[in-house]
Amino acid sequence: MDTEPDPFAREQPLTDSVAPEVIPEEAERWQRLQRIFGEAVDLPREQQNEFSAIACGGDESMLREVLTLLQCDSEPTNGPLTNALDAAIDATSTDRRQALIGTVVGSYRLVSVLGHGGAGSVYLAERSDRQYSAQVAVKIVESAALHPDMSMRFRAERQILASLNHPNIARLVDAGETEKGLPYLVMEYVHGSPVDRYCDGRQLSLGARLELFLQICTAVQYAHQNLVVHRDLKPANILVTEDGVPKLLDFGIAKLLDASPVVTQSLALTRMNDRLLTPEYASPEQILGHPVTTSSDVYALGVVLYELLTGRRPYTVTATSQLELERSICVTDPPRPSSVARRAVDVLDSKGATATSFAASRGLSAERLEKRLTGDLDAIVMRALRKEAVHRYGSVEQLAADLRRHLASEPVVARQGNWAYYSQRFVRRHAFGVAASIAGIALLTAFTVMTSIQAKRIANERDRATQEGQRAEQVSNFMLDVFAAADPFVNQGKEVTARELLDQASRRISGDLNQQPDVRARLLEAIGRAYRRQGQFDRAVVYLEDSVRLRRDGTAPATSGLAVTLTELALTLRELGRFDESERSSNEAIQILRTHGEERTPATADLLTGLGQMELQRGNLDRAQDFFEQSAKLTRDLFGAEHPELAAVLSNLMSVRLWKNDLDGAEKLARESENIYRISVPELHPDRVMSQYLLGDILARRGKTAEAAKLLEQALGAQRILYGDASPRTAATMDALALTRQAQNRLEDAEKLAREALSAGGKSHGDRHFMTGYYHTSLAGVLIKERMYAEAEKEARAALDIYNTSLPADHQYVASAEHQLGEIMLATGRPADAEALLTAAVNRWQRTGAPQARIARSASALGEALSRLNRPREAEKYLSESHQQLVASQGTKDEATIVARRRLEKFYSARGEKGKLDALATATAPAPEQSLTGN
Amino acid sequence: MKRERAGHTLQATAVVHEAFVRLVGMDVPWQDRMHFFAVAARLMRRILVDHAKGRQRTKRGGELSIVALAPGSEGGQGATNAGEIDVLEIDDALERLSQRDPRLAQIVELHYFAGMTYQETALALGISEATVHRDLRMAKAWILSQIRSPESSL
Repeated sequence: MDTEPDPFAREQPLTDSVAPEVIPEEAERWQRLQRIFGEAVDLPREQQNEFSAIACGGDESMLREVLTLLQCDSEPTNGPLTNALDAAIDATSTDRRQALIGTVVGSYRLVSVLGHGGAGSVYLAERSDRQYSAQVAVKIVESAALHPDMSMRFRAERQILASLNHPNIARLVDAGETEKGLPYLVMEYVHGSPVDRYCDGRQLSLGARLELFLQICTAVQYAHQNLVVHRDLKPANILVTEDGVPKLLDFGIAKLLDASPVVTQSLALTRMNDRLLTPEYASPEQILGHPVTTSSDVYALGVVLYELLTGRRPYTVTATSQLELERSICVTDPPRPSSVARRAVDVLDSKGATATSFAASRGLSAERLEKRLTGDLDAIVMRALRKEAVHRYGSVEQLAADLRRHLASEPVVARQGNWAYYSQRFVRRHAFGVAASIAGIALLTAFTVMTSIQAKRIANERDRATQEGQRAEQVSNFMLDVFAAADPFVNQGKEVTARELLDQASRRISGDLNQQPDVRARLLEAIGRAYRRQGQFDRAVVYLEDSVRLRRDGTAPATSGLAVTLTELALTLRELGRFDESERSSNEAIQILRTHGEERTPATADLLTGLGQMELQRGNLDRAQDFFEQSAKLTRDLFGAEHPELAAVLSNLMSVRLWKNDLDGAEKLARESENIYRISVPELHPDRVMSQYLLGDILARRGKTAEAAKLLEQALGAQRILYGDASPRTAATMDALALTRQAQNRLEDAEKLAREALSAGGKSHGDRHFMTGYYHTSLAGVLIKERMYAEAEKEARAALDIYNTSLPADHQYVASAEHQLGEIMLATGRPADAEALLTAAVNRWQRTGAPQARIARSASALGEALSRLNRPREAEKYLSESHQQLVASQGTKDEATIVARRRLEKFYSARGEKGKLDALATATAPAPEQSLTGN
Repeated sequence: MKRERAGHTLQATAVVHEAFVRLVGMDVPWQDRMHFFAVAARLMRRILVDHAKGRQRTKRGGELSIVALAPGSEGGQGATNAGEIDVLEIDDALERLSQRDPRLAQIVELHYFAGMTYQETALALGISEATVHRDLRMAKAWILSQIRSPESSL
């Protein structure tokens, strides 16, 4: 197909389209019109006229215009224009299609339009030579012209597709390209209705639906054995004929149309292209753009089964946005089918049918339907729908086999191990919600410790008595509900509801004293964990301590379980700043693992990492480093050198380096970590995004601002998709980007981002959390740069106030805020206050083992304060020593060094010490040649 | 009920694809998302307008390619006279709007022709969502006023 010469190629960028000359008075008038309209339109209808008359102040023509506009205002509907354009688009589309009727494609004449969908339109056609009277369906792929390499792949693939010969798969008869270069496919014409409508139309019983579904599975399985993945299974592609025979359409077609480099190269393009597809049946890997495998078909079959059973899809587009839907598919667990059947009882669904009628169309009452779905069918569907392909059924055959087991009343595989799976997912999903962070570096916390132990325990339990297995399931079902509801990422606005649900759950468990101690302990632990994820640490501790107590009392040696709970408790205590208790819990957990010979396990590695994080939070850098190094070594031994687990520990180690001001080391570790993620996990993986952020943050600190800004923007974009704006991680990235913008001297942007970060931090950590304090200092930093000292002072004081209750006194954050406030005092002519603050800062830096440069920076400022207080002897000592130290550790071009030097010079010249001034110049001035040869 | 996204994206396969084909065929470096969407919106607009003009020609000026609103789809005040709106009229009015206020015209293009939400438009243009909301409301009313009585403009 010819590339159309496009008028835009030479046009000005549209964003700067040339503004027509507007006469000033007219522009002013227009502005006024807009303003009056804008104000009037928000008033109640009956007040609008009067208001407009007054606002127009006798300008009759203006008033006429305003009133006309008000008459034309169509809020709140989006009405007339949208409808007109919809209709225009429909008309254009229809005409485009109609134009093809009667034309010949290959050896088929198009007779009528059968339908149209995401990729193109389908026509009913018959052979043009009338050799056979057989009718066929011709699909013309309209999107195909997007893919220049299409025809070659097309030819290769169609051979494979044509070889599929199965009674339940619509045969591919022929394929080729139209005169216009659009690919077309000729397929067996199936006269039938989509499987969901067929089932509802015939009011098929649950059993009959399952039988039909099993036939569908057989067809998909056959295709998989022939190495063909469908990739786009949905009711519209599964037709059932009058005789009740299911026929699958479009096998493998999606692949022909998918993932061409042209489409994927531009994010915007992909995004726009996405709008053409309904992703409701797409698996997470498809949405994330990962390789599609047979497992994706398993997932899609799960969605179809879900819909056949409940009349609903697990995820639906709720007008708001497709992005939201995609995020749900990748992050949220759908409600279990039985709970859908239950909840929907009196709610009208989109088709206008109640759940009762859904149930009725399955030959059951709503209660009976719920009961039939609870247990096996819930478990089977949910297993097919798992986010990670590896956790789904390994094949369609396994899915079908489990359904057959269910029909034969045999135990199904899907009901085993769910508890471990969901707690793991829950933990993973929320890991970032709790990641404590230091210096804007949110530390990665890996919580596999609990999950791996749990997995093991569940595995053991499976081998134990059935009773025990049922108990585990009791827990898992109960928690599934809580998990599903308590997910703060489903929708920021629904968090309150989630908390309410959690409260309900905890009341339920507290009230039910008949529970087995072990079950109770696990539930208490899960509730405690859920509260922690919600940021309600105090409450979490209550439940976790209860759980620990129960486990200690237990007669059974549930010791690994105790280690799990202790680990959870340690994390929560750490969040509360109760470091000593947290450390005790961690150590006890490690001890337990050790006595069980589970010392060299991921669990231990995670505990070590946790301890390291705590030491970091306490400000004990050496001890933190020690723990992280132990953990890194163990992790490397356990997982190898290219495993995400290792990358996580390396990130932690990196933050220690950062605090030790070893930027080289930190950058190296950050690159290593980012690299591991890049090769081992998908693009939108939270940890990968985090590593981008970490590397970006370091590069920013190293003055590599361009590279940094790029990484940070990427990370921020991804995080806004993943977590929304009010999340700790998004806040951290906003902060880092703010710093970068500050370095680029884009102060306005910097301030905006810093304020966003503060607001996000406050919302996600809480207003009194030390990280929120940190964001206050960050904003203060920008404001100082902007010379808005009064505002900066307010922020710095707010930070100190928060630190006062959230951090130990000897913490570098405190010193940092003191330093900042001291600088503000200097800038605003209050040297005595500055002296007090800066002295405190210098001492605190020293006590916390801070890097020389930080001490020197504060010491230099202190020298300045003393100089202004007319105490030249002390002043000279601080000014000159700090300058020397800064030169030694940071070099002469560092910003802090330059400031220190300027202070010293000013001091000497004010005192007329020409000799010292000259000595300073010769000793430390950056020689101009140096920078030349340096290049 | 407020339908924020211009809802034609799903059934618009043929047209949107046509826009895509043209977009991809264009040898233009996309400076950014904004640029991309701006061009996409402009293309969509052009395809629809060209099509409407073509229809007009084939029908020899008989009846215009007037599209009727779906019955019952309108509840808004002031929409009483909105029974028939032609895409060509929208195009004309939009052209006049861009003479007067190019920014408003661009917001309209992005929202209606590229299907961008308020939020996306706000992000793309670096303005607040509230501003997009306000501007679109004004622009819509203005365009409708133009269509209903074009001579009333000053």
